[in-house]
Amino acid sequence: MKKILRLGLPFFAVLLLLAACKQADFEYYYYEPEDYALLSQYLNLPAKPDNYLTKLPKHLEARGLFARAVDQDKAILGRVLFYDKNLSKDGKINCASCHRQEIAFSDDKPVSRGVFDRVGTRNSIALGSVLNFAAYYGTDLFGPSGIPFFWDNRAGTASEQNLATMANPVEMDMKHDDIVNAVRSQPYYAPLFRMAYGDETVTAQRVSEAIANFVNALGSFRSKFDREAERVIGTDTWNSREYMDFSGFTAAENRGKRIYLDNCASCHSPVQGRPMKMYANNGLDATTTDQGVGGITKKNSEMGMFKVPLLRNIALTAPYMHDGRFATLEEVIDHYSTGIQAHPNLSTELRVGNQPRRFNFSPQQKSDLIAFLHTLTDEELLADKRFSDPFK
Amino acid sequence: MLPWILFLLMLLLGCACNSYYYAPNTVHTPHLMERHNAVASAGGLRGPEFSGFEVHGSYALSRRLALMVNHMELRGGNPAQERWGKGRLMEGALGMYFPTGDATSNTLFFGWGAGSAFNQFPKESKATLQFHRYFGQYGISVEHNALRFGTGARLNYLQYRKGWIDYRLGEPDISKIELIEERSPLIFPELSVSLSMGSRPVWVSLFATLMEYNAAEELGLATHTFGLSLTFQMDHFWRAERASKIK
Repeated sequence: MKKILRLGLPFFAVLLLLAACKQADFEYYYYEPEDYALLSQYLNLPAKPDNYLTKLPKHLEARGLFARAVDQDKAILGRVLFYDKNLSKDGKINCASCHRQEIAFSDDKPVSRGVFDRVGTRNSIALGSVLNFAAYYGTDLFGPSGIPFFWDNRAGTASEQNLATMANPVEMDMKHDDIVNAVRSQPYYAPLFRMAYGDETVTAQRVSEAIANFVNALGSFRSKFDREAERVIGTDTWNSREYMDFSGFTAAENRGKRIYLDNCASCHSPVQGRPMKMYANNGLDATTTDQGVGGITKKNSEMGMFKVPLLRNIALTAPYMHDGRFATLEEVIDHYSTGIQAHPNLSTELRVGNQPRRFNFSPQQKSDLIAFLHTLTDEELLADKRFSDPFK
Repeated sequence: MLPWILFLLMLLLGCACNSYYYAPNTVHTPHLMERHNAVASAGGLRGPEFSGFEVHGSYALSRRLALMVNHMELRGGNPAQERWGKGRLMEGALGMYFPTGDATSNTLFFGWGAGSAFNQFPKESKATLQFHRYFGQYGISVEHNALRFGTGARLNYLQYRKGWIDYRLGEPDISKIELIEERSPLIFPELSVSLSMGSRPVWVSLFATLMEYNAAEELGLATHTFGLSLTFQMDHFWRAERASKIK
């Protein structure tokens, strides 16, 4: 017995030591091999699926803003749908035609052009102007205080918004049946629907839900402004010296931030979280033909009012305003400086008594404000592969 | 009060809100005093969001040498629900025991075990991880009248080996599993305390086991388990049988 132990134990110990050196070797799978081979003929989708989980920076979470969870599988399907030109009547337009990633998912035309070069009536809202779609938009989450979609706030959820866009004759001009048929006719959708929904059934609701999951993962929160705000988290936004003077900002950027906080933040949000006003008239014209929110609600008090957007990536998303009338940030600031018109529903922030307010920014102030607005650019969003065109 | 009510509700409903990829079994401290002493125990185990059972056996081979085997099975959630999981660990150890006085037994074991953790997520996506565990443990058991107190410390070398993971299970679990793969092998200590009541040959024992690993939550490792078991001093039975035969 002792002999066996004397010889056997060291041998056993050596075997154990050898076995203990082995590295973990995990096998991950997502698509079935034949599915991935099929998808790879049309699409550049990674074998390891992209992660669409969003974690907002602490300075935004500290203000009660949280990204809703998205369904990863539906978001992957949604990405393909977002970039698929088959979802338009003439096969030449996709969502990204008017929401281009390289300019923060905005359009560089004053008003967007849809199928057969039909001209729209409004400028495409930059999807990259908000901190995160799912932390920002949607009356389904926030109830009546939720921020609806479109310049006139007529859609409550991302699903409603994308179905309306696809159906709009001057955008994609696709009725529900057209959408279903277009999707069914593409071979790459069968495996993607199976992954997202467990079966290959295509419905317009599923299409819109998948796109909603994709866009709900979109957001911009990695700008220079965010990095600096993260460093001074917990300090009083309006009064603390740390917040007023970010150490990583240039003097011009900090001066511009003060001008912004004093004059613009009461509508557009001090931290680029949620706007302080959901919609307003900003005095573009004394009388309006496009009535915006009032055109939907039919209330006189809301005529000529439009969504108040967040200003993330604003330096990339020209032209500006709901009709794209201003080509540059300088023109926008000139408008607020000296050009506000006396519309009956002009926002109170832009009035002095009954007269339009004149901010009368000096050239130095204008230049500082523009320097600050450039700090809201999120370069990572522009190159984020998860949101890029997957088609070959 | 509310957190306790929620905790109890969670236990009653068997809610598996988190998935676990390792859970500590009890660091057993068998009360071995002489050759042919044998201890066997079986009982229930409960962790943060799972429960199960474990069996333990130990035997004094000679005046100093001893063997130990442990087996643990755990389950959390309900297969009828979208999220549930199960885990298993089987291990054996060879060691020594040193009685000090009439009432105290010290044990030192070195062992190896193999286990697995299976978790199922919505859409029937699954993750199975297999691991080996090498360990060394020291335990002390003190008997006083109808009470036994035991405590043991174990140093683990937890080596994940194979895994089959469906990416559809999503976050945060994919990140947890990738971290496990990256950081394996994990080295960490565990500590158990036990209190037993009874008299030879049967004891009722309560166990608490804690593991210490700074990233336990990040990796989905359960940090504690509690157990209730029946412990039998098996040699008492066959000694009694032998004595009756001799008579």
